[in-house]
Amino acid sequence: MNTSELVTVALSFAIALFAAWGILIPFWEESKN
Amino acid sequence: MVDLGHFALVLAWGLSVYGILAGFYGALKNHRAFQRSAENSVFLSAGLILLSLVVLGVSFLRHDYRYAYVWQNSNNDMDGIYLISAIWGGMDGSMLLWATLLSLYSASALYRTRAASQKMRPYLAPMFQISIFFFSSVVTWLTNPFRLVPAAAVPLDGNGLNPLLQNPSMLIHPPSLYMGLTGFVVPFSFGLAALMSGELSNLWIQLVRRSTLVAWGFLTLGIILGGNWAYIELGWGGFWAWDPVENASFMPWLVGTAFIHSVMVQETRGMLKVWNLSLSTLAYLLAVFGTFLTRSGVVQSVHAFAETDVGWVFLVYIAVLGLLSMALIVSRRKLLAPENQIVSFFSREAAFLFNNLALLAICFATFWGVMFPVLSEAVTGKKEVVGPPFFNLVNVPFFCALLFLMGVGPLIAWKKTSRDALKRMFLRPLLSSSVVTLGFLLFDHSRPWPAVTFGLVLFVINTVFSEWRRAAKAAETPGVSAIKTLVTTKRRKFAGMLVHLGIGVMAIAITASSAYKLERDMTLKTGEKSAIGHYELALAALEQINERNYQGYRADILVYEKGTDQVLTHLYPEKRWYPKNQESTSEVDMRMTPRDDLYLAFAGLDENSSEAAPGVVLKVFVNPLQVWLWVGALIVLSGTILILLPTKER
Repeated sequence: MNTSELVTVALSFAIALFAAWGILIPFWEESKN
Repeated sequence: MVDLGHFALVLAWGLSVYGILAGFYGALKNHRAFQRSAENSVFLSAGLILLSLVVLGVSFLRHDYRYAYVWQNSNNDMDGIYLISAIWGGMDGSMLLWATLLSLYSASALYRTRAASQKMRPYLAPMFQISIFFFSSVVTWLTNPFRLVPAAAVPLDGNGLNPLLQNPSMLIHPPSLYMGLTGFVVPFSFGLAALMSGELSNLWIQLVRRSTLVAWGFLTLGIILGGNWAYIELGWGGFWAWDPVENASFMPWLVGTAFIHSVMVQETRGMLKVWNLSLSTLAYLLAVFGTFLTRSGVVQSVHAFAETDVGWVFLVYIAVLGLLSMALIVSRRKLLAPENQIVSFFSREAAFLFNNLALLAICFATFWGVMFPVLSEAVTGKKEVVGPPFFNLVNVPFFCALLFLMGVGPLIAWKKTSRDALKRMFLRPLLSSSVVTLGFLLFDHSRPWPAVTFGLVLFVINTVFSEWRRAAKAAETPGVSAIKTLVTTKRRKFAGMLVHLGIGVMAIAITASSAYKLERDMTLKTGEKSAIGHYELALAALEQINERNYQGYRADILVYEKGTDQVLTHLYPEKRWYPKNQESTSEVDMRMTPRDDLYLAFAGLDENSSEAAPGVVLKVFVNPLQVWLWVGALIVLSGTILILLPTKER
């Protein structure tokens, strides 16, 4: 795997993490209250 | 290998599925965390689809021919700006642009109205996600622009973009049109969310006003730019041909215009509630239908219909949403009962109702004209095409009715207007309009509709100015400062009148340039003069051109005022041949003046001429008052922008 492919994979992973955080945060906030 | 654009699309699609399920669950169970999670999914989907559009754009700029779509729609010779317009040069990219704009509208409307309506709000996110789900499904599974060419077969150069699309207006026309069409997702989704939640006050209408006007403004701009492109680029001397592609954008525009007017009746009189919900649905479904129509090839041939999967999917989507909307309206009919009735025909609500009926009649006639070839082929096996004469015959009387109502509507009072008031307001304007119409009829009785149109436009202009005069009188400020007062204190009204004025100016230009157009196929040889209207033309020189990606001829045409030796200008129409695309184009040149456009399209070389004394065949048009169409459109757009500017008045 070359550098640009590695960057793409890392970026995709970060995006997926961000999306998961976005839809899960309301549940986390609710449980905190 | 992971592909960022494709990955973002799939993730956005997954989030839309999640948003629909979580959103409806949250709304029905009144579960706040699910509701907020679904809302976040809309923002995330929008961001991801935008990301995939950016990735596609970058792939075009980098000539990344690993993607079949980039290879099919661009090549190494293309300039930067055309590489951007190549994004929507084909089906796949157009659908991605659609999905992007639709999801951005959804996210922005959801964000802007975050403080309003607790009751309706939970249904908004899943409603928006239904549309995002549909379009991201189409882009991800049916028209994916990130399909790869097999690694061993990646070409070094691409196919290139259709030369007709290599025009600066192609950079703004499609996005602007799509900004208009996709914007109708906002009133549609709010209307359905209102129905689902039972929150059927005027709130949803107030919340969607801005988005609807933005969408309407962009759609107007998109249609006008399309007309302008056709006029400059296609070389047939006109701007509107009632072509299915044009009609596809015109139908939602008509319904959108009806909606903008009819919501005022609901806001003021509590009437037309079912009507407004139906119009918001119809405008959106027609926008989707238009995309289906232009992209599925159904109009060109019934058989293409069966061959593309995309067409059927669109029809199913339209049918499901249409039925859902109807079922919801029926189930909520008690809450939708009108609070008032029409008391008199001489009232603003009646004028608005007739305006709506006329707009829908034009929409229906246009729909019928578009679908007739398809229906006739399905029934008789033979395709019967209806051309501009059908559309003009049916629609012109309705347009005249609309002009009349445009003059009446803004002046007449709500509820009821007394006979005296009617006389005071309309007697003089109607008399002066009749004089104009009769004058034109005496001048040329073979063409009644242009005469009627000119009279009616005068009526509209009269109304606009008497409305401004009346407001200025009330504000007790004379002249220019009256307009200033109007703009600051009654901006919406002033801007609305400005839009009407612009439509009036456009109506004059459309009528004059179509009814009094002069048209000739002209053969010009060196040293000869030939006349059309008040112009005389002569061929000064014929030059061969050899550019990087095309060859052809450029004619140097001298334009004289007829009967004099006074040269008004030189015009340089061209005929080009693009060997790579195997296509020839005719580059129009024209002289634009407030009085008329002299429009020259290079048809070909004169076969009877020699190299020593060359000759050319030109298609020559003189289009009276043509430039006023674009001026009128600018007035309409300035009015729309003025309405949309942030305001303290409310």
